Amino acid sequence: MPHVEISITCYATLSTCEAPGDSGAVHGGSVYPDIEVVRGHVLARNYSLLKENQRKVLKVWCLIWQDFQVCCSGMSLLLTPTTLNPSPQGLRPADPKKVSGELFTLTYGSLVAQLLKDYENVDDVNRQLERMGYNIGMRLIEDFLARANPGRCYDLRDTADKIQQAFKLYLGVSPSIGSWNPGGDEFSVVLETNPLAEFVELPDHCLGLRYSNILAGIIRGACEMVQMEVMAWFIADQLKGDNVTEIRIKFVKRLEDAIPAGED
Amino acid sequence: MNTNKQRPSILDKSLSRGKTEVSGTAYALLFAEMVQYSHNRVQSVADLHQKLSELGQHVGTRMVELLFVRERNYKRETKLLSILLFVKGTLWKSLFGKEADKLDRATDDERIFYLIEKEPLVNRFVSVPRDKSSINCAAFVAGIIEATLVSTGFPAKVTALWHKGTTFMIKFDDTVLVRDKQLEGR
Amino acid sequence: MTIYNLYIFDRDGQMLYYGEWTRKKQSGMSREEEAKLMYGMIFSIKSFVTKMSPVDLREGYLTYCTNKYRLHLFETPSRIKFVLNTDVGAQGIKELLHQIYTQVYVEYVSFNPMCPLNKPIESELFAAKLDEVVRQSPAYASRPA
Repeated sequence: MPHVEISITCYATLSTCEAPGDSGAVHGGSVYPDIEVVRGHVLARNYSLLKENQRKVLKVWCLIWQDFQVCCSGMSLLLTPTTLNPSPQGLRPADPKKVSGELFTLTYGSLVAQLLKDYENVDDVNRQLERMGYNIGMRLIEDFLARANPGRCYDLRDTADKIQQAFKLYLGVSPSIGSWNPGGDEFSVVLETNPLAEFVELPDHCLGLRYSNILAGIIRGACEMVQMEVMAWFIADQLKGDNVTEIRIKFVKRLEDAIPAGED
Repeated sequence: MNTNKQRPSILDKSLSRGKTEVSGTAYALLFAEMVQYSHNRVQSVADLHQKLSELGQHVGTRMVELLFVRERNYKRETKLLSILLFVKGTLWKSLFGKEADKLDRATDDERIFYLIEKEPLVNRFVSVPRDKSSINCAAFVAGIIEATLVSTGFPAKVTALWHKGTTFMIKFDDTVLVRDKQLEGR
Repeated sequence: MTIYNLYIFDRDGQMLYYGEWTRKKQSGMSREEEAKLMYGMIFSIKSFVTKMSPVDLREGYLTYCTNKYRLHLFETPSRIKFVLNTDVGAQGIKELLHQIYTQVYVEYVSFNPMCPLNKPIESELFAAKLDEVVRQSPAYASRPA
């Protein structure tokens, strides 16, 4: 790069007077205590330093350069103060606290055991698990929106990607998405390992139990909150001897906004 | 359903090493739903605590088996104090990733111990209306502790109280203290 | 700069929460009645704007300004609506509303098992945190101009 020597000096001056200098914050910590801002800057810096991004970054610089050439000719050096705007804020940080997978699995187990005690037949248990999942999904989606800021889904493939992302975020497993039907409104989420069922073996009298049915409910509840009515159900379960655990999801319809009372 | 399929036996799998983690959010919401479910099926706060404690006991019993096989090489605890330290240390760490904050003994009753946890995982997101302030969802954790003690041969009753955050009051059976004294005498 | 009041509506148009900081005049009707009118108004504005605007309302944020006040609407993809009224000069309200959603609503309503989703929010913790976040925001000035 040309003018490196001058630019270092100039940047040092610029950053101390204008930008919430990363260097100041990184060194002292006390000068600019907003660590999030600094993290954003460091990320941007790393991004522009990556080899594969160099071309893009250079392109941006060239464009800026051209713009300036238009309005003021005869310029030999362009200084661009790098970080005048604060980095994006307000997202929930990535889940700060992880929870032991065992505690999770066993807690879920205690819930299923309780339901088996409370209800006479397994169909009712399946239904109850689905309903509880639905309730969870309605709350979980808010966290997902706030944390991952996933943006809107423009088609069902977007939705499938986001469901995949959510499994990773919340359960630490990466399911695969596939088996699309020709119409493109139905697909499968395939789990190699199911964290809910870690210690589980279904006794013979419970073969009708869909142990992990809560997951189907969660998917239905979460989608409904973002205006999508879907159906979700298990078509394969490792607890029943299948190779994988597979949830089928079918898009039903888009839901519309509530109309205020008294207007039709 | 295809009954010809061979269901895998849980015994063919190796025991979990306890290294997996899930998000705290997922856990909080699952727990919240359990509380709601239990809440809808009981009449009083005491019943709710009882229900949550039962759910916790289910977890506690299994945790003991898991931990003693995995971490303790099947060696059991015989001393009162060591089992309490096991709860405060090993059990707490594998469940909540940290030791419990504090262990105290009651001054007026030698059967009673207090295990103090400023902010139990299960209460992190709960804001209970003041008029219902007697509800403490940590009753679930109390159930875990109780089952741990009972199944290792230290029958006790554990209750969760709002005090310095949450305090678990552990009240041992008289038999436990008698035995412990005999052990000490040896 | 100052913040007047806040309405939170669920996706069925029910008011979940009302909070006010600087409000010099009451409307003289019941809070429910006022909320209905407010929801009706933002519903109409939104559907009108959606029809008129050449671009998509991607971020769920909409604001308009009269010569006396500014109304800010932030709508989450799950259709929870936050309506905040401020004076005309208030800055950074979009960020504030986003913060209220992610750090107060999600944290203290979505995660509170004692807090039903389709009923008005009664949690004191929620109210306290909301107040804290609003009072700490740059747009809040304790002494209204």
